[in-house]
Amino acid sequence: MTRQVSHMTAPFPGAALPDQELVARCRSGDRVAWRMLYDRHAPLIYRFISALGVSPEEREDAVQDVFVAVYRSLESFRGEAQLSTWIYRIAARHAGRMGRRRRVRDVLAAVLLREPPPPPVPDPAERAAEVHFVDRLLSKLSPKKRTVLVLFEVEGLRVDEIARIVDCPENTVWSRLHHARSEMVKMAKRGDRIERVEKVEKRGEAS
Amino acid sequence: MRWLDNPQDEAERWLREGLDLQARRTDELALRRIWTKVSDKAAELDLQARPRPGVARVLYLFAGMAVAGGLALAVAVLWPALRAEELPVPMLAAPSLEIPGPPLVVADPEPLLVGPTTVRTGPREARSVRLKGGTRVDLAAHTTLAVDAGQRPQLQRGRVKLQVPRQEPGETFTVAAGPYVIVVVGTAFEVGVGMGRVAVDVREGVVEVWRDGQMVRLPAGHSWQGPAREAPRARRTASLAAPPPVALPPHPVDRFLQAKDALAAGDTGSALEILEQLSVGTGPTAENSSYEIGRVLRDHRRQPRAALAAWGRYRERFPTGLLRAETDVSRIETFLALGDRRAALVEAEAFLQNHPDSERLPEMARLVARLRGSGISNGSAGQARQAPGQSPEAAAPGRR
Repeated sequence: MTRQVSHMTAPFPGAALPDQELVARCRSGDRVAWRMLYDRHAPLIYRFISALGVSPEEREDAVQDVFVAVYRSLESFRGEAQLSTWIYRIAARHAGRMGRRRRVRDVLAAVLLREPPPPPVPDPAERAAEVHFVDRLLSKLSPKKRTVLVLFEVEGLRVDEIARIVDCPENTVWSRLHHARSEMVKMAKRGDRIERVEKVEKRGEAS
Repeated sequence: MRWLDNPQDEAERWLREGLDLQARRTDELALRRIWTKVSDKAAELDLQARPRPGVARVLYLFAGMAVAGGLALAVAVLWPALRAEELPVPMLAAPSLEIPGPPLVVADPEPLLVGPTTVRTGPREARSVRLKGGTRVDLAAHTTLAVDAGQRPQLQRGRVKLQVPRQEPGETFTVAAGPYVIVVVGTAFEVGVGMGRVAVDVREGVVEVWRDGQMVRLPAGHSWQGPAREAPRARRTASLAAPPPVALPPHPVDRFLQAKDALAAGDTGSALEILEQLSVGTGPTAENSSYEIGRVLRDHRRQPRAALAAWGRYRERFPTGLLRAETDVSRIETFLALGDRRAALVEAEAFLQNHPDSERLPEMARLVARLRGSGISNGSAGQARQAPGQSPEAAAPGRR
């Protein structure tokens, strides 16, 4: 199907345009609508990708890949779920693939090159020790638990939405969430306390 | 009530605060860079979406699957190198230019780099080089830095830390990164005064801002604003004891998020007020806010002419700013929406001259061809060449 491209339509759409209408306009080639859709959802997806442990170096590529996939697949979006749920799903799958590739690389590097996997690199744009702290704890959760915890606690989504995104029953979501929370609290209270104290001391020295 | 809203101990408090800060995580400059690439890719897909679906796509998919199956392991191992080749993406972290963590392997100690040349670091390698003029450049792993014949560096991939010596008056040091040009005037910080506010942005080192015996200390990568109603008296206290620290005002990123929240709530007035405050001075936050004012005016207040004026002011204040290319594109889009195709053509032609390395170049070239093909002209027989910091209107002969 040939997509007719027009750069702009008038009048300028306001911020109140619902997602469904934005999608319809994007399908007709409205670039402004596509920009609005991107502006509305990209910050969420960037935050989501970051919380799932994608490294700072790969983050921009990851978000780009997600939105290129969204653009490619707009015709197939049927509107049965919210647009944000659909985009989160694409992002979760992409981040999962990246995570699996990274783990394969790390394993191969360890086996073939006899080198340990590199430690996670803290994002220099983050200025709060608490964010680094939570990042480290999240990195120790299994990908499935991490995804559910991030979607619930960071993205603030409902359980039914999360169930659609990760493609599992709502009970499974609740179960993963419960276990993820327990593990996070245990790790926070346990040996990771030493790291917290060190960060607070360093912050005190710097101020 | 949310989980851990009543923390039982410090560990739980840290957890809750960390999760809340995660929820406010953002990087506006990264999002703009991503948009540039997404937009261009979308334009490519539109061109590819011309007829011949069906069989061609099926064959492509089948071939792709066969290749993917056979090379899956090799791709997984070679992934970093492959990504590097297909996406020469600038990975400059904003606002700091610091490299996270210590270098793993240090190669040659600071050789002098003379252009034209390119230096690359491997997956677990860090290097330090010097440029003509004395600038020291520390390259992190996975980094590609090019230097042209004019000794101008261009970061093509990865991260670098730069230490720039003081420049001669009128001289500036610049480094290009993707569609952006970072300008350093040889100092470690920037100061701006305007609209009743004083703004300081720190790139390197630590800067102290004193007032009435009190002090705010700003490390690299931080910005600060304060009222300029009373002239700050930069006197130091006689006591050797450290002065009581002044509580830092809200971080500009938080203020920017407040503007976004106001916008989401439909309060464009408050959003504009915050953005106007943030746009004072220089630095990424000021530039981002200046640009965003135009977006709010166009997309939320439906005032395209006011948006054009706002972006015109951005171009005057930041002729080689971080968002200059983005601003130019926004003006072109706005002229098209207003039906002023001649002005759009003038702007688009100027874009081709001013941003030869932009990733939006193919898109703009197609637009120019389409507008010319439809009989639109730029209105002048001999188009004057537009200087990089000049607006197209000023460059066009016969215009004031």
